[in-house]
Amino acid sequence: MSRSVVTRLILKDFYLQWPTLAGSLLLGFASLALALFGGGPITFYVGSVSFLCVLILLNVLLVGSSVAQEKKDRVMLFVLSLPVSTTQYAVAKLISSLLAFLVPFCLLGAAALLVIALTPIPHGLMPLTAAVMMYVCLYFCIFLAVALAGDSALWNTVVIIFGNVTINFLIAWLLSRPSVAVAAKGPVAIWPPEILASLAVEILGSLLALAAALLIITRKKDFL
Amino acid sequence: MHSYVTISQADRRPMYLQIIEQIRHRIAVGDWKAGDELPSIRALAVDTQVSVITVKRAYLELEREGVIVTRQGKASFVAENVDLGSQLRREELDQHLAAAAQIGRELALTPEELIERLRVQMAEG
Amino acid sequence: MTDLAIELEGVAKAFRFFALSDVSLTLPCGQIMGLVGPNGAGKSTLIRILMSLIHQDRGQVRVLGRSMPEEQVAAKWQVGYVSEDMRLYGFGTLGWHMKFVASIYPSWDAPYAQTLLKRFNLRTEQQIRSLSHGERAKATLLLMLARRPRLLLLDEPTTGLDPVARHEMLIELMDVLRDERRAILFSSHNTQDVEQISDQITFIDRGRIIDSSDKETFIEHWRRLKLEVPAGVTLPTFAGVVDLEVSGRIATVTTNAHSDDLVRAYVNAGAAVHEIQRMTLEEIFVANVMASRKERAS
Repeated sequence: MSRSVVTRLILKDFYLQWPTLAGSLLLGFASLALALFGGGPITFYVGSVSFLCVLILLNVLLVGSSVAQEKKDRVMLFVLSLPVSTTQYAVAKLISSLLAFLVPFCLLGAAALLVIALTPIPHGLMPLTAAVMMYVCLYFCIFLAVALAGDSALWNTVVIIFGNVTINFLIAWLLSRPSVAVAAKGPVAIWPPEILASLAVEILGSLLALAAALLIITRKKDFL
Repeated sequence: MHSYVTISQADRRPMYLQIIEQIRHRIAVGDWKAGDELPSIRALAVDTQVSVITVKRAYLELEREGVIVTRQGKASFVAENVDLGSQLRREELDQHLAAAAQIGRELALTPEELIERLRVQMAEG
Repeated sequence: MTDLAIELEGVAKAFRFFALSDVSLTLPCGQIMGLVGPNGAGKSTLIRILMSLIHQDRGQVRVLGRSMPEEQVAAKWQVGYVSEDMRLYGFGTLGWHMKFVASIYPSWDAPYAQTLLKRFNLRTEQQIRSLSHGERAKATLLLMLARRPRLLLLDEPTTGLDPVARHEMLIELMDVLRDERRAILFSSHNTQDVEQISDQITFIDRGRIIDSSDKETFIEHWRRLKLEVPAGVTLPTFAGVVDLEVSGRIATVTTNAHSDDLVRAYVNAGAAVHEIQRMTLEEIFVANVMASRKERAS
């Protein structure tokens, strides 16, 4: 009986978040189109930056409004008055936030990679795109973990600032590697070790963050 | 849904006494006749927004005074042969006497002095 | 399942700057308990422990016979919880919230929900964020009442409400008690509300229960005696006297064990009784808290 309550909570979150999802898909595709079909280095630059911004915004809005705001505004108290345990609430939030992020993320990511693959745009861009996008995914998982398992608006803000700043460092670092910079302009997708290392760290880091969050949530004794 | 009883916040007497007085009043004016069933304790409490325990106390007191009878532990009825008329008046008298006693205390009169003054009043009436 | 809606036995919970200690309480079905205490006394903490939002460090907690926090989900099917700081989804409508709650609880009573909408003067199309404070409180209450929970846990339900909204709320709360298998625990600073509708009253201060009894017992046992003390007479101390204040020739005695014997004892000691006053629940509460704090300090 209460498993369906968890399902209902997840569906409820989707219903409440769908404007954010739809908006990010729309803006994401628009940015992608600008970057890849704008026909010039400037439009490419502007388009790709806004593409990234859309992903980051999606991340922050999802976790911010669904997890952090619910806690702050005590809407959480309303949901917890329903027949769910505190653990079930947190797990439902984890699942719904993850899915809400991954759906547009994968769609946009796949679209980006596909467009590059099917057009005369240098395929060398693909690994770089993948590495940068996965970083946003890592950022999301860490933010979600901190917001869910922690109770501090301060820490949430720290994660946002940290995430927004370090992504620039990543891009700068990757582009400074000669193997990456050269490969990016090439017609074939090459995966230099820096790219592979980044991807490994990002994927592992995401999984670790989610696992840690789950561990903390299930052991939590005080939800307020 | 009408309230059989209303509690006044301005009335400083305890709520159970207010309930007792209003029930007696209803009986006295004939709304509830001998043998009529009173609302259940819970129903009266809910309709008046007063604690069940207070209504219970009022009913117990009324039963002690012979104004109502509780049968089968559940339903309460107005007692047969209830003579409220004089009882109500006696209550009224007690209230007046309490007020007189209060003034007497403030004037530091002894009971005997107070009784003397009462004798004067009764002689005049 | 059992006759007791709430059972707390030796419950303790420590925070950094505050601790609930040795809390034991019972509330039978069919009754209302008012929980009264100053700000920070632990009322919200106690209710959150009952809802398993906070887990106790020690002690037994049973709600409708279910052990908390282990059986919290089972308990929550029949328990309603509304707290003053609880919020609904601002961008949702009241209608959406009603559909959502109704989809979860088979006990949702749709006709009753409609009645409550009319009584509270709310409309389903209203967005929550457009509601006033009082309307929001009533909306939250409606969502809880319409599914007819057996036990209601209310954390300051009437705080911040205008007198009309308060009156409407009290009517609905009392209505719950038509069914003697249901029960209500509510916390409040508004001693007037507590005094009016509670069967049981519990005073809590600084994390401890300082007194718990039925309402009529409180009202009957507490009195203020105004005595005139002639010169040269010192009043002896008697058991059951919570406070004694002497100012000139007038002494004010506050007692929680009023009896004719006590009055006679003072008269025999040489005092004259000027007045015996009953005390309102607010006066009883303040006197009780002051006395308990004095005792703890010594």
